[in-house]
Amino acid sequence: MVEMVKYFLDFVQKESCGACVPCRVGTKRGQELLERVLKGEATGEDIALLSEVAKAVAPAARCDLGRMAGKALVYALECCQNEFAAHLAGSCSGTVAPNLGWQAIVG
Amino acid sequence: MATVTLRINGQPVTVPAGTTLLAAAAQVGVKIPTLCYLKDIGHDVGACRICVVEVAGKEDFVTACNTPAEEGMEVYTNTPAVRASRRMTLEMILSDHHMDCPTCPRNGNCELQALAAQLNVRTVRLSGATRADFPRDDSTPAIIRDPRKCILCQRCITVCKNIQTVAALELQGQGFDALVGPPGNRKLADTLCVQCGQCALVCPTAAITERDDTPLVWAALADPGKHVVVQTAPATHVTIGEAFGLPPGTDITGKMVAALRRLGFDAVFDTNFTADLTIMEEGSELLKRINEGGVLPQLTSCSPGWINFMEHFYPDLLPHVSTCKSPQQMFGALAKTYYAQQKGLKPEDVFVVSVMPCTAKKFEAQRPEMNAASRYWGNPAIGRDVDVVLTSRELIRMLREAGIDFTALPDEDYDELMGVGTGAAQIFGATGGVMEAALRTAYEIATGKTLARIDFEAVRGMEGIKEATVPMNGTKVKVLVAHGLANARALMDKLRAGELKDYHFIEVMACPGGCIGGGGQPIPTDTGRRRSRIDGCYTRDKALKYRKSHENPEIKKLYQDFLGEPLGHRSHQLLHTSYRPRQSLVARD
Repeated sequence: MVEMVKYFLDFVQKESCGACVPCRVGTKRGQELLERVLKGEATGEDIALLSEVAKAVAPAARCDLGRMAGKALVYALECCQNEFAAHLAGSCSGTVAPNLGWQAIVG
Repeated sequence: MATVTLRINGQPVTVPAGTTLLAAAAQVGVKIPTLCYLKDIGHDVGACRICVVEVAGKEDFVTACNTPAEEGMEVYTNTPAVRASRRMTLEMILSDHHMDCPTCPRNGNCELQALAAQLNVRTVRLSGATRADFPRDDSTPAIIRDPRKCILCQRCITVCKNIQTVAALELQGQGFDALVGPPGNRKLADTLCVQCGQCALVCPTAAITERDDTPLVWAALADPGKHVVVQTAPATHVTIGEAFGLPPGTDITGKMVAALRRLGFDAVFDTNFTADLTIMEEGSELLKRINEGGVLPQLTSCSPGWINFMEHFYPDLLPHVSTCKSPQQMFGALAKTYYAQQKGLKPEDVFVVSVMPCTAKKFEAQRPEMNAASRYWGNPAIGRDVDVVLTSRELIRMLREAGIDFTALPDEDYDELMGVGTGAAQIFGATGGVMEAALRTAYEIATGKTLARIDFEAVRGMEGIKEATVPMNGTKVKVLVAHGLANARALMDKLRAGELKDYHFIEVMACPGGCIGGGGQPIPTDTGRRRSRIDGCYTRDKALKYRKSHENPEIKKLYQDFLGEPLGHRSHQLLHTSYRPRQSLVARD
């Protein structure tokens, strides 16, 4: 799930028009924080910050692309806490098998 | 008028339909923070998301700057969620901003800095990629772009596209790599940019600034081999004081003269003197065109941004443009000929500095043909007629650096020979001023009569296009005045279509309000300040001893001792110029 939402942010970064701050910068910072999570470098503080970024982006981006990105992050953090926790602990117990099709979409 | 009633943080407020939430909130004492919004230029794209507010019944926030109030709305401007989002958005911007505040040109006068202070943001927890790789663009003489400091508010795009109709800048790229800049990643020098600097005036940060030429002036002042003279443009006389806490429009001419002397200039002169000279030459040119069936209407040529605009967009209409140089360039040519001769100075030792409200003047001074003195003497060592152009903002920085207590200075007079300017010259700073000054002189020269009323109210003020008719010797002289290039474009399209055949004279200033609203003026420059500065010009005009250019005793002396007569041989050598199409730049992707 962490990977899935990361791919979604990659996609949004590619498509973002760059006009509004939450989408242009917020989803980029989200990407960077998720990368830390996936590399096993993230701390609890990083997750808390990621959550703040997500909650700031979701209602405030200028259009639905950015808002969806924020919301996807918010939901992922809410519903798959255990996955994030697993990454923090240094393992990955993905409940959703990584689907390489995602990577193909965002190149 | 239809009204709507809504609640802001529980406070009821009734406003005209169509009022923004931002304006409605202001009516109940709630100042919603904004960053990219700029009412003055009609810019409300909602890019920054700083002004987000919560509306009962809506899942997502709305931006207060561009959301109209609706009947029965319940708006909350400071809920925990709104505050958190607003602060996080600001942190996002700061995490992506080249924060070298202490050495930044806009240090202390930066809207991003001010917002961070206003929102009490004391830490930036986000980090990651930055805009550091975007190259600084210093390809033009006047305007420097630093994309590392750009917050993508898009104000510059709006002002360039809508107010100036040049459209040299656009939003490009995707996501984090988005960039505001010239189309196709060109350098600014390779675009249709006219160097007017209106973008620098509206930029909230230092992403667009004037080129800082103060080191060149300090170096010249420190060089004992140079005789450094300075000229001050009319529009600077009523604006420099703003930086020292004086109200916009305050006449600080005497203090500026004193300050420049204290900086070490060998002579302090007035561009108003050559503004009067411009009137003599341009008024004579107009009468000549009218009497000899020359190309009419004649267009003014003092605004270098406007000249660039004509060369870029309307090269076919260049024969309409007066051949008179701008007052700045007339001054430079005379400083290194007439003045040098009168004072027994070597022309190559004379170093000319201008203080201008204008960024495009930097470009103008560097035009290759602006070396009349060098050609006059046949001496390449003389170089440019005007060596360095300082904008108002740069002079203010020099005064601060030198520790000059500006408001405490006594009023001093300009030096003799090129220091007397009339009220007619002073109003050059305001839109319509050149026209009014020209009418004061042209009327009296053409009719031999004295004007009963010298105030031509019809050409004054902030109306985009103004018009007047003045009877002269049986000819009804019809004139037009435009300021801001969108208004100029409207007129030029008509001229191209053959619609302005019965007009004689058109004044155009590239910047809204005229030079007092120039791209080099103190920031902020908004409509209110423009109006106050315009008032300041007319107040000073009324207060001056001479109010008509042809009555200026130093101008009389100049013609007597050196030039001979308007449009004479020496005038043509030193005071007139030619233009050329620069359409190669017009190529678009």
